[in-house]
Amino acid sequence: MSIIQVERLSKSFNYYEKELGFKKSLKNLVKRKSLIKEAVSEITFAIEQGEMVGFLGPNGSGKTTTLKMLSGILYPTSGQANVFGYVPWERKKDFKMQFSIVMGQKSQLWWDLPANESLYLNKCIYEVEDKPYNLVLDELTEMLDVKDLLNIQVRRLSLGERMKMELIASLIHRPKVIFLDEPTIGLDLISQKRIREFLKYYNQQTKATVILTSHYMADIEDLCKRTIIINQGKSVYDGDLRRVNELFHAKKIIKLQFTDEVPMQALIDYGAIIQYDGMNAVMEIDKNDLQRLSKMMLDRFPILDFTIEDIPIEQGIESLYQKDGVRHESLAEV
Amino acid sequence: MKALQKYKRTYILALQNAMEYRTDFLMSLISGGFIILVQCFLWTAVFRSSPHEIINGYSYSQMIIYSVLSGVVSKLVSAGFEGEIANDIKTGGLSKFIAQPIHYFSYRICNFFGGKTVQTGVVLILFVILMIVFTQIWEFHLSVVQVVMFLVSILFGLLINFLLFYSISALAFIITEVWGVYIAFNQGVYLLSGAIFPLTIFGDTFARISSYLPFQYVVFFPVNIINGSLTDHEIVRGLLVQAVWVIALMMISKFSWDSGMRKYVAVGG
Repeated sequence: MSIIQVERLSKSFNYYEKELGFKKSLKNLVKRKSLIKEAVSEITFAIEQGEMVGFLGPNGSGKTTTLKMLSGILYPTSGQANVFGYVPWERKKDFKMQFSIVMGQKSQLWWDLPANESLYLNKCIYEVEDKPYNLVLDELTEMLDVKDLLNIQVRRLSLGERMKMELIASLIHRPKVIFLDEPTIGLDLISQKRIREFLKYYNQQTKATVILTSHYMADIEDLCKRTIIINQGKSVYDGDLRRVNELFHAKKIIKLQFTDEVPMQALIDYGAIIQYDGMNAVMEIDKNDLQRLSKMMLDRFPILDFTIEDIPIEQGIESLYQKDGVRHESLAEV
Repeated sequence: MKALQKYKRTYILALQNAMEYRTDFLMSLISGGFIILVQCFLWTAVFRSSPHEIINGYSYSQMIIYSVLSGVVSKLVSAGFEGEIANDIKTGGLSKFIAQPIHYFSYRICNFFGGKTVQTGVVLILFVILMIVFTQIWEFHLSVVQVVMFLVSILFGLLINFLLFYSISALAFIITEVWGVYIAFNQGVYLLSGAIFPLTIFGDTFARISSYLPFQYVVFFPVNIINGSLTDHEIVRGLLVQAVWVIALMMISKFSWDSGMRKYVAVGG
């Protein structure tokens, strides 16, 4: 029995368009063409207890909308979901008492008061007894190294420190399921790493189920064995992130360094050239032809250095984003 | 009572929060003073140029007391949270309240009263001082019963005003940008509650219409209790009407929020 089950979950929003210019604004005052956006369409998956699953996808792909439906904030347009026995959008108290959602861009802390006030409020909201509260608080502040920041006004904390407080605030009641919506957004690399390490440790210690969305590949690569890639509201991949490339035509990257300049035309016969500057070249070659072609190249060109690499995960994901799998020249940030 | 603990805590936090901004509070008090001063000058001029001792059923002293007290009371019952609610709805801040085991309405009302507590303390002290001054200047009698009734009616007025603004806030679910509505509503309540002039000034028809509306029970009615322009019978009747309005508005706000929550789109991150 999975702890989270989602079946053909969909959500569409109404919105309207306004074209550029004042005239169009006037027109909009009178008549608005209503449009429907499918934010999430027919997503299906199941998650087991204690799993740590990453939602990956470009902006506006429906990651956050999915999380909001799973936490009961939004009503779906159609479909079903079951989170440890509850239908989230019925918003039952017993359900709320056992999960947590952290939104990287929304604070749940009282801005003008020290963090410990907000933490204590959460203790009361989740009806936690004094003893377990003090225990959890001690443990979490120790792990995140924020013990001496508890008495400082939240608005005076740095972004990283505040995020740590947000995490503590959402873990006070030891939730069974934790939804994290971009917990590392806007943080520097060291803070990102700290939070990642903490989440990993927490997941192992408490066996809590964690769903995480992020723009940062590193977050998900590091934390989640399983990734669900969402694009345009649809789940396009579900599995180990490192194996995402196996989905595609099995290709490898070959990096060449020459002792003498080699003309571009000579290389073209062997595969797609990704980068070329005379003395160096990066090429994409079919896995099946790898042995034959690399032998031929080694014989023919004055090669100083020769390396074979996997296609970077980012590239595979990018191909997924572009539905039909046509790859762009540039390696856009994922 | 574990469940009540969270609301008590919300109240305490709001209280602490309010104390963080002393200057802001002081300024709002001073700005209220200006309006009162203007009204006093205006009524003094009107009474001087009029051959009558009594205008619209108020003597000069009653009118001045009305102007001062209506200023104080309207400050006391003023809402001011509607912007916060609209913001919660528009930018998605409401999400956290849906995900947590806490009622938004109860949270808001505790927050409201928490923020009001310090203000109320200061305003009540001011009220006592003013009352002493008035009883010294004019022959003005004030019974204990009157003061008690006044305080009860203020509490009801506070609730009515809270519920009015809470219900109207639900409009933010339908119209995304509600500032215009708020400003209009705010001004409407300001006028219709009797915060500027006693409502009798607008004539009998108006008075009759407004007796069917909740607004006059926010400022006009409480101030008239102190003013001595109401009989005991009228006071009791007024308090009952206030109670009825509180219940009616509770139902209205519940309805508007329940339907709004289904519409909620929870925008942003």
